[in-house]
Amino acid sequence: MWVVLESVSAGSRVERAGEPLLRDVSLSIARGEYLAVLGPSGAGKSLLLEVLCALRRPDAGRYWLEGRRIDRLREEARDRLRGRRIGFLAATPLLVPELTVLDNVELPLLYRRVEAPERRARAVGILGELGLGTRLRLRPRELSPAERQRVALARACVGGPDLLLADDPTRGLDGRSGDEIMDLLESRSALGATLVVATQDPARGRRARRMVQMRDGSVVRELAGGLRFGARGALAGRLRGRARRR
Amino acid sequence: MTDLRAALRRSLESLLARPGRTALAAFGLGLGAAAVFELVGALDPEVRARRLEAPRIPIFTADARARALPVVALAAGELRRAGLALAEGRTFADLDARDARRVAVLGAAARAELFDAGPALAESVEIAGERFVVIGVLAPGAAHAREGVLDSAVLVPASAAPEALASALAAGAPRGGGVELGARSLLAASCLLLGGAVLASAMLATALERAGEVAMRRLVGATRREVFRELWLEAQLQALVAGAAGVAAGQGLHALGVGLAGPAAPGSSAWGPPLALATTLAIGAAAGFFPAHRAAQRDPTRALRGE
Repeated sequence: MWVVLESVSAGSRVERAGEPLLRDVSLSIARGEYLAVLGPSGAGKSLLLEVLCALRRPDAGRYWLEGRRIDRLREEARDRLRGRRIGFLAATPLLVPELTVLDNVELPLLYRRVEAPERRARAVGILGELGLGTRLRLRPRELSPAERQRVALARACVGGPDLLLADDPTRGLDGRSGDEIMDLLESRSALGATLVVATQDPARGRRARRMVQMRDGSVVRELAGGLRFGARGALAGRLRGRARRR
Repeated sequence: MTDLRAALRRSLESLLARPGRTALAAFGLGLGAAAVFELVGALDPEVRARRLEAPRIPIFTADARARALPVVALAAGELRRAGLALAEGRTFADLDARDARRVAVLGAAARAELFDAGPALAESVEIAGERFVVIGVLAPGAAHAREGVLDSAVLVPASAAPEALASALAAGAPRGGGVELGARSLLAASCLLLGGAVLASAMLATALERAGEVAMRRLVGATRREVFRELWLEAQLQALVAGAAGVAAGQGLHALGVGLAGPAAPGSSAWGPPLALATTLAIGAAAGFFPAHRAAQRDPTRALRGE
């Protein structure tokens, strides 16, 4: 397995009423897999994605990405890892209003010290792929909400992430634009990225080859094929073995 | 910092995107910069030497020539102790003081103004209705430590200054003495403090407003430290821009002859602009540090959820 969460608990340090906790979640995802995380609001979907993108350190449990123990890394190393390998599409696009579409999409590469000409080339490339080739010089406020979300997707994909996470990516979009974003996300998955989409909408979730249902911070149900985590120790051992061979 | 040019452009864009706050911060820091600029001018000995703050009083010669020249009243011993080089005649003697003799020593330029190339010694000039006999002429460039360069000055013994002259001297422009320097320093410091406070609060508001952006930057791989450095750099650039505006304003005011604390002295110090800029930059760095730090320390996951 490529992504492995083992008995992960998280969120206990967030001291607010109604804040969902993640309780003892074990989950494994194969490379290139397309996984939908379903559940009502407050089920812990966002928290799960925050752990997966290494923004939040689990309070307990273990997290491996490609055989590498992520939960033990220092914050800076996790930030770097996220910049290199993980793309995140949030419910709101979070674009910088003062920057053009092109500059917004170049941002992740800036933090990876990619030289300017290559930054530009890659940003133009991904924006073209996502149908925004004519919008490069515009500011976010000149775009429609659907286009803004596509720019955010371009920003998430410009670094060529292996793991693409989307937290309720169709919130605030009409049905057609929502479908479009889902199509584009799935096209990235088809190109080889591992895709995890959290959504409250079972209809959208059903497009994934595999679904997990969350409630009250736990994975309660696995809805399609895929592999649930069984014998923890054995699997962890196998993963470590693989890492060593590499 | 990831890329100085990008940071610079972003900072300028964010400055222009919030014109009200920028203007306020620029006003405060600019005032401070102008004050520092002026203060440096007041402190720089070279500048002080170039100007003579003594009041200009009309002086008449026997052939009815009239010139308004700065009149400096000095104790007799003071001029002698200064050891100024003389071109002609003598300086004040103790006897001049004791007898309150109406005698005058002219600066080189003042002599030329009043007498051209003709004889000056033993000629008389009328100052505030009293006749003074010229007993000496200073060599060109003669400068007194407190009063400045005396080329254009007419010196009289303090003891001989008639009442009218004394009141004219007293009513004249304030001298660049210790009290005034203290007041100017205080003014400069409070302007800078005000500017710094405005900048800090503007930075704090901006930083909190941009929580979403900070979170996004973390999401695409920026470390806390990088985010902090970017925000801090932005504050410093803001201060630099504001400081430059302040220096320009200060210089403009000087050119017009208006200062923050009364009439500005002519002449300015070469040290003024860089020192004023450096001071505003330091204030900006200090004022921007905490807001940038605070914004960088915020938990990015909150902003991600649209809180």
